[in-house]
Amino acid sequence: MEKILIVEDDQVLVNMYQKLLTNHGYDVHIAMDGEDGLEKALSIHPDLILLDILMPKFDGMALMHKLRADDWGKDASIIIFSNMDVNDERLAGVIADQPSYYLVKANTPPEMMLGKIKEILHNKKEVQ
Amino acid sequence: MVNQLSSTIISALVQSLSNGVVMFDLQKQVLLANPAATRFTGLPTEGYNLSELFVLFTSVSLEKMVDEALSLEKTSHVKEASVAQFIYDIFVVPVKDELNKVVGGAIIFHDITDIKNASASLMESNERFEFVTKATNDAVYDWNILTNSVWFNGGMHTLFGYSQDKVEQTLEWFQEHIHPDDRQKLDIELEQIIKTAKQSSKLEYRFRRADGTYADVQDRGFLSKDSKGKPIRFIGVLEDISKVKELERMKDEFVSVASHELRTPLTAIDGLVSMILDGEYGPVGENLKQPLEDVTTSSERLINLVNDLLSLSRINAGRMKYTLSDFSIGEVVTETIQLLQPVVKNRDIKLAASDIEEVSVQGDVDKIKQVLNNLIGNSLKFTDKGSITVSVKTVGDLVEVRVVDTGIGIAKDDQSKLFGQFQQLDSGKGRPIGTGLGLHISKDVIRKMGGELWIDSSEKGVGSTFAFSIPKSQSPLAQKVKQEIDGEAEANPNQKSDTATSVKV
Repeated sequence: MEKILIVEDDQVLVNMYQKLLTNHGYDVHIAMDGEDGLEKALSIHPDLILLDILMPKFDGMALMHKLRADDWGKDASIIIFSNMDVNDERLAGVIADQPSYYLVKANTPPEMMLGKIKEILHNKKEVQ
Repeated sequence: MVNQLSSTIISALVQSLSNGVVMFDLQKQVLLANPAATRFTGLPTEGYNLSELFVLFTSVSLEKMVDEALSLEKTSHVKEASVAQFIYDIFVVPVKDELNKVVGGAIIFHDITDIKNASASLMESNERFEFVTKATNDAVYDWNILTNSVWFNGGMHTLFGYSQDKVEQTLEWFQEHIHPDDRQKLDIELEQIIKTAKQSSKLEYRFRRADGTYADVQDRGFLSKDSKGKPIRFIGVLEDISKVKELERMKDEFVSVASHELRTPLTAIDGLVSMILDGEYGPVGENLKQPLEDVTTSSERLINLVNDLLSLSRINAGRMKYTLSDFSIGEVVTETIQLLQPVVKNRDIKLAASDIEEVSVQGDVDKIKQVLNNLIGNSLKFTDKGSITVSVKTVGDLVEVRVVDTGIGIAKDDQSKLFGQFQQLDSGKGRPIGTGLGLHISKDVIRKMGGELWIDSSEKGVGSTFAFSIPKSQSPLAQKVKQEIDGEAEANPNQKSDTATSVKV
């Protein structure tokens, strides 16, 4: 089973994504702030990380940046999913750390989310 | 020396003077009046008494001056004597013979009417300028392009807190006080002004106040050229727009926070209901399917509204970026229709293209696609069965795209309301359908690209035809639009394109 780490601070959304991904056969792990997220990423080594941006402790962009400095983390598959305006200036640095996708949660229905996840994990398997 | 020069030479000299000269004897008889004097006084060149002259100069004690010259050998001078609409400087001098005896005198008129008028006019003009620069809340500058010295008015103090001694009247001083990030922008503009003799300029940048903080400033100025067309002077005003900019920033912050806060619960509502309907939480009773689908429709409407608000905020602030290119409108129409086929699959509607002229247009492809989607989407909302047909036709320098549907049509009274913000129309099913911001944004966006968006026709019970136009590639209109958009992009490096959904990195 492929491991997915969801890093998200909204409990309702956590429950929703956890249910969705578990139903579709993934081994789901949860972290609800940046610090916990980094710790779990480095210990679990998930196949994919769903990363929210605005979170307590430190935000998703800082997490991704720290992750990219790690030997394993530099190649980790990350989908940034946030509800921030795509054109928000704070997101300027996001592209530099190479997430696979930047998704706006409100504009990404569950099927689309599943589709993107499948696509990334499939591509990853092919590369390996 | 007078005695040595021949009298003919002196006479010729006196005749040619622009000053009026009237020479008289001890009996105050006029011996000679030069042409200038006869012009001023209207009196002949000789043979009359000074008393006729005295009558003309009532405001001046000319008679007294003459008497004093003759009896007291006194030279007198009256400045700025007004006679009718003229102003003169008047001298009265005694004339003596070789024995130094007074034999007569001369009245000399110096016409200073024009000089006085010009001087008064200049003073008035200067006063006006002083008043204006005091009254305005702007700082005024006058840049001498040849010497690079710059005059500043008191606005430097009132707006930016610089005392007189702190302001150096040089271009260099001014440039040094511009925010480092804006410095290049300003330098390029200054170069443009000098090189291309650019007639006027408008630029926004940050200027350092005396206390070290930066003020947002709008600089508007005009160029003055010499007779050869060389730029010599540039005069303008600096308006402090810090408050306006601050409000803009606050508004952006608000829109950003509000849209984020609205999106999170909407994600949950839309996502959870979608999952429920997909059976992710177990089987769903048939009785629940419709209400749940209605929840989805509503939440999707709200999600679209938030997306539109973000777009609109960006459009209104002039920060919407337009990436222009030349492309085949026919291809875009065909592609869009193809992508929407799944939507009409289970409905009694035929969505197709017809009469597509092959022509290249200039515009922002993504935005044109959005507008097409918006119009076809609206048709889909208001059409139960029949057809939605898209056609393309060239009309002069513009290319017109029409979306014709066989829907319920829109009443005349409602048509005018359509393009306002937040309009809702009655769909006839007892529940209003929102057109949201879509049409409003579409119209703004099309206009920006040089076209227009309108209702071609609509009849209740028959259908509607919406149309929009875009400039043909390479047409004069297309070039004008490109210039405008490029100019705005230069002035607004903060422009962003509109990707609401996802960005594949």
